Amino acid sequence: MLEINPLSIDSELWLMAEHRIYEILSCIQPASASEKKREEVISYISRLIKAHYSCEVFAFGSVPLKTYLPDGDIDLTVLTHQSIEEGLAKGISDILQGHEHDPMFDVKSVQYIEAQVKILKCLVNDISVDISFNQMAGLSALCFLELADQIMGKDHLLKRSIILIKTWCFYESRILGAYHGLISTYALEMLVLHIFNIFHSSLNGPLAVLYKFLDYYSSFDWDNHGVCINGVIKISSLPDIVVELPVENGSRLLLEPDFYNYCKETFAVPVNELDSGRHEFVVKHINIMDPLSYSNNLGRSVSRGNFHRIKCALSYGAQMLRGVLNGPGEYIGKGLEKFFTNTLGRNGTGQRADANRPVPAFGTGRSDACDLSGDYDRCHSGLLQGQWYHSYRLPDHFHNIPSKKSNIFSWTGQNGHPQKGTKAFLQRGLPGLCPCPSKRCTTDIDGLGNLRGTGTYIPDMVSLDTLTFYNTVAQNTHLIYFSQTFKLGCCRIVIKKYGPG
Amino acid sequence: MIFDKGSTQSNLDCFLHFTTPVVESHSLPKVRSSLPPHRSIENPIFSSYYDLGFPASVLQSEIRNLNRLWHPWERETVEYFTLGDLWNCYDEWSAYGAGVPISLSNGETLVQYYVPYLSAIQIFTSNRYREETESGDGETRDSFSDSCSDESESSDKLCRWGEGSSSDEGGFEQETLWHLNDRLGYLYFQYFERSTPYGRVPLMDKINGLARRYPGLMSLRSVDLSPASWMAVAWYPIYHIPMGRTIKDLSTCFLTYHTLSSSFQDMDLEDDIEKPERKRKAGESISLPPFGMATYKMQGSVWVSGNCGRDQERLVSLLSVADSWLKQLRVQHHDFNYFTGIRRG
Repeated sequence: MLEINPLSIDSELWLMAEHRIYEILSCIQPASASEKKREEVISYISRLIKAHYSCEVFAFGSVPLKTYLPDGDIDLTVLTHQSIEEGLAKGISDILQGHEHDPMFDVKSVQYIEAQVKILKCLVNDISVDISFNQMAGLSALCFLELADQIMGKDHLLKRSIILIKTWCFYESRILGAYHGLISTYALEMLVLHIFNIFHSSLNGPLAVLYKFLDYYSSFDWDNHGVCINGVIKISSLPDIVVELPVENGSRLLLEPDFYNYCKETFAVPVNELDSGRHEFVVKHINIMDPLSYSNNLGRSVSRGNFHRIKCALSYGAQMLRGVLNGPGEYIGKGLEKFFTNTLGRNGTGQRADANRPVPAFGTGRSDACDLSGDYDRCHSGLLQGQWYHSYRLPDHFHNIPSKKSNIFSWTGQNGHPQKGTKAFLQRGLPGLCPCPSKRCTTDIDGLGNLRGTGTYIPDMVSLDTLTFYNTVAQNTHLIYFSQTFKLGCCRIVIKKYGPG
Repeated sequence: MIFDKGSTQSNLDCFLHFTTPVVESHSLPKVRSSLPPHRSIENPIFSSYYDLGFPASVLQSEIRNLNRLWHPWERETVEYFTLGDLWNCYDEWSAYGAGVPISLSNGETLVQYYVPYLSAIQIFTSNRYREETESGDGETRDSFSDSCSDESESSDKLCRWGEGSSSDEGGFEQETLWHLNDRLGYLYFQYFERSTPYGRVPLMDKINGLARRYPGLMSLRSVDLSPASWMAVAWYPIYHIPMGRTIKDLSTCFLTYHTLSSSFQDMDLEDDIEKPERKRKAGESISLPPFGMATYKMQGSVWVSGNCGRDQERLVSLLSVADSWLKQLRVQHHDFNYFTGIRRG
């Protein structure tokens, strides 16, 4: 018999509890006010960068996925040749600092962090923006999660659960944040996906997922096991990956191996983008296997001390939530509000850190929450562009950073402002194997559609907008369109792509 | 928890307030003894001395001294807390961190979170507990003796207690460290953390682990402990909400010193002129504010700019009290040395 709810409490009470969580989520999940503000910031930064350098800028992470928290940052990645990353970072840093007195967008605290991954951090209109370079893994992860959410359905239950659990981890238990030696967001998302995959039949609401998450991971044997999407890995068997299913699971996994294989192939990160070239999974305190790259341990950011505290937090949280849900029915609602006390304190009053206008406060029955559907096509085309970009070595003269004032690298429209779009400079003779981005053929976040067909194919130097390039090459190499159908649990997904003949 | 930061509270006030444990109190009625006045005791726990058959003469003077020393204030009841209840205060902080509301000079406010770690602890009890743990290992009396015996000074100079204590030095000329320990009580347990912060386990977990071998860590009551009993808690920052820009001063680490015995419960350890009405009433919970504090990586003005310069004085005073405490006890506190930049050979 399927469980209606994990604790088998009265089903009406459970529905009431889920409803209270729904109201809490309404204060946290993306709202039209926050979407607008974030889109404006992304657009501003992208235009600034593209105006000076012919680079593509992509958003990845929780903003396009629509799982960001009000205090969450914006992740952008610039597509460029790896050898010029550092110079470009410094150049962009200068540009941003130059705009610190921009009246329209308040740019502050520009910082360049030269760690293993180079990141430019800044605040734009009080939203934290992280600009990285060639973060293909981020684009891959985005596509993967967007697809997983579509497959899992139940009105974006995966995304809603991710938002709820992130909320608890960030505002209440403070265990989220790779930068601080805690769990990274992507690692957390994989932990949630693991729960979904195994226990999907009994999970119908975000509260059920939260409870299962806390209950399961507070008693997880981290010393001997790691987490991967389709089961539990035995650490002692590594480097051989031996996956076991938790004993209690009787039903089938939601996502089948075909799905991961497809994702791994389609969303794979080009080899030259990987930093250390490690091919073995390095065991740490918390072990979470990246489904897109088996040697990548997503839990590696967690230090030993923090590992203990995270375990502490999961246990404490599980105990508290259990106490609330098992307690008297009339106090469950208040108990849940208390469980999210800091969250509501900060976000329940109608002010969002990432919105310029007030939103409905908690408990008013109204909400500004927007639809959580992401734009898979857009995400995927961004990834494809990146994969294509890094699949080929660019000619040597590309290793110099283009001059900011050079006309050939900027496209100025009639009104003198940089036109929305980028150019790709290519030498003749580059192989034409290039998948077409999508059947909708819009690749640029600023909407390139109206620039279609304006480029010309010049034998030695090509100056094209990216869209035209794809179309031209596609025509020249007789790419073939085919489709592949997968059976995924109870769904049939048809994936269409263009590939070589 | 909505952080109610009174307008007069400085950031330092907030830190001290939000990291002070407040423990549930219990009462112990005063027991009138039927013994002759010179042997009368005003506290039931000292009956243990009689139980152990100590020579009456030694005991008499000891008890009189200790009694006055340990519980100098006349009360109808003795209020106490159990150590187990004290550790419960650190339960949520150990899991989630303790939130401290901070006001920045530009008017911004945020909440910075800190995780508590057990940095050091010494528990001195009445001799009754000595019997129970006689077979204990290195963490007890022996190591204390070791740390004391490093000094070449004679025993009668060691560890004189508090102000107004009646020291009975004449009787101690021939005494070994063993007897001196009796003035402080029996060292039931001590622990000094030496591992790097990145490897430490939060306070609650640490105590639970240690309590498996030393159950008194949970069951002992504040009235069972001598005034020498103390602990130091290291507070390391997690992050602040909202995150925004990095503020150097918020990466400051703190080391707070707290007494564990009931003896000091009614004392105003801080001369808090501004809040006279806050004196604790009987039956209320017991709070254990820090009597001393050290800081690490305090660079900017977040912690010292409030209270018209009083914060600066307070920091200096808290540091010096911690320093003198450790000197009195003749113990090496690893974290204190590290925080204050003292390098011992």
